[in-house]
Formats: sequence, C-alpha cells, structure tokens
Amino acid sequence: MNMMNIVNLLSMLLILISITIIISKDNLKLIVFFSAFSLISASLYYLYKSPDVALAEVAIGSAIIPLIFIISISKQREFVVISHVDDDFLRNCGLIKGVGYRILEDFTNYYGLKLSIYSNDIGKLYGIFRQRDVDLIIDKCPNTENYLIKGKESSILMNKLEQITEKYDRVVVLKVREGETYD
Amino acid sequence: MKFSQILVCICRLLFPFMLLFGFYIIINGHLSPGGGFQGGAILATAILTTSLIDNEKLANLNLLVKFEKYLFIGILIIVIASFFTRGEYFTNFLPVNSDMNLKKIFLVILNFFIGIKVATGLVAIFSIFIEEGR
Repeated sequence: MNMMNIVNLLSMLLILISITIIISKDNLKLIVFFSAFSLISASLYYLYKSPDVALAEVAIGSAIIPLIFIISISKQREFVVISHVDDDFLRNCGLIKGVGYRILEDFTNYYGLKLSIYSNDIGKLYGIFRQRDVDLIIDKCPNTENYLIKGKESSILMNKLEQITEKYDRVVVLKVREGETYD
Repeated sequence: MKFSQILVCICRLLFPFMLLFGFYIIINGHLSPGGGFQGGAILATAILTTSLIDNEKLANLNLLVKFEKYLFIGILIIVIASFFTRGEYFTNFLPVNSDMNLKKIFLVILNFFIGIKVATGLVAIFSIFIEEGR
C-alpha cells in the first residue's frame, strides 16, 4: 500500500467520524469521537509533511479540548447552595435530616441535579479573580424566625421550588432580580 | 470526583515520561520540529491530567499561576538584552560574527522560557475554569 492510499483511507475515516459527531446524542461518547478526530487529523498533518502542526494538534486536540468538555459536562448537573444558617435546618447525617435539606433533596431529585451545599465562607478566595456562581442562598430572618430561600427571578426552577415549599409554614421563597446584591 | 484505581495508577506511571517528552521537545526545538509552544502544550497536558485524576499529587496549582508572572519578566529581559550588545531590540544578543554553536544559546534560552510560559498559561486558564462556581 503506498502513501496515497493511506491518506485516502484516513480522509474517509475523518469524514465518517465528523458525521458521527454531528448525529450522536450521547455527550460522553461524542468526546471520545472528538479525540479520535484530532488524532487522525494529526497523522494526516504528519503525512502531508508538517510535523510541527501535528505535535501541537496531538497535545491540544487529543487531551486539552476533551478535558474542557468533560469538566463542563460535569458542571452542568450541579446545583450550588450557600447557607448562612447554623442550626438543624440543613443538617444531613444519615437518618436524621433537617427540613430544608429534605426540601432541597426532593427538588434536585425531581430535576436530576447534584446538590452541593457550601457554608458561609466569603472570606476565602476561590479561583483567582472571579465571583462564585450561586443558585440559591438560604438565610434566617432575625425578627420572625422564618427561613428565607433567595434565588434568581429569571430562573424557571424557582416556580417548582415555590410549589414544594407551600406545605411548610416557616419557609419563604424570595425572588431576587438579576443585578441585586448577593451577600 | 472518584476515579478507578487503574486510571490513577497509569496516570502516576505516565506523568514523568510526559514531562520528559515535553522538555525534550522544548530543548531540541532549534534542531527538530516543535519548540516552545508545542512542548509547553505537552507539559500543560501532563500537569492538567494528573491534577484532575490524582488529586493529592498536585494540590496547589495557584503556585504555578504565580510563577507565570515572574517568567514574563524573564522573557522581557532576554529580548531587551540585545539592545545593550547590538543596539536593537528582538535579536540575538551575541555579536554577528561569533561562532554558530555559540549563537544557538539564544534560541535555546528563548525556547525554554516560552515553553514554561505556555505551560503555566494553559494551567492558569484551566484552574480558573475548573474552580468557577465552587
């Protein structure tokens, strides 16, 4: 088999893989196909006598770009909650669960999200120079002893949360507009 | 995230060889294809995959990010050094009629600094991207 045959074969494979990427619905499978795409294109670069570009393509296309996609997919299914209360409302230890934790668990199971609760630690510096992207903030009103759940007004999920919390009389849902302060 | 034991083991095994290959491409950059950018990308791949899969090994990425800022000053010094020897910027700081083997030093040093700079820059982009919203 001479070199031209190999080039033709690899080009056909490239077209097939790119059609598969467009058609396929499963996100994780798609990332593997994407990685194979860049490996094949790197070998094509090498056969067309540009090993310089092939090296960069191998390093970036087959490792860094799939990493970006994997991280962003695992981030999509996360629901970030910050709590400012320090009593039993959000406690989760085995069989004993607080009222608020049960509400949030029902809510996230309904949408198939992963719940992650962080306590109040604004002084810590996460990341390098960016704000944290928060879905919900839970607070306690000092006068009426009610628990306040603050969320963005624009989010569609808030309506479902209001429906769930109608049964509990000490829990209030507040909708905050986009630009207002979060603290 | 929890990864399987096989993945962690293979990752620990491959990490020094990936670093070695990256440094080989950087230092041989003036003789063979590759150079600062390509070797730096390979170094960044090694660091990022290890820090994502094997959490205990490279816990502190922020130190690398701080290191990047000082490297930039190093690149500037190498580039400006030719002004004091030859009288113009952005060229080799050794004299024109010197030996060819001596002139290679400039390329090796510049490739090395650019490689480390690219690696730490990619790590900086990623550490911002990973820790977003946490």
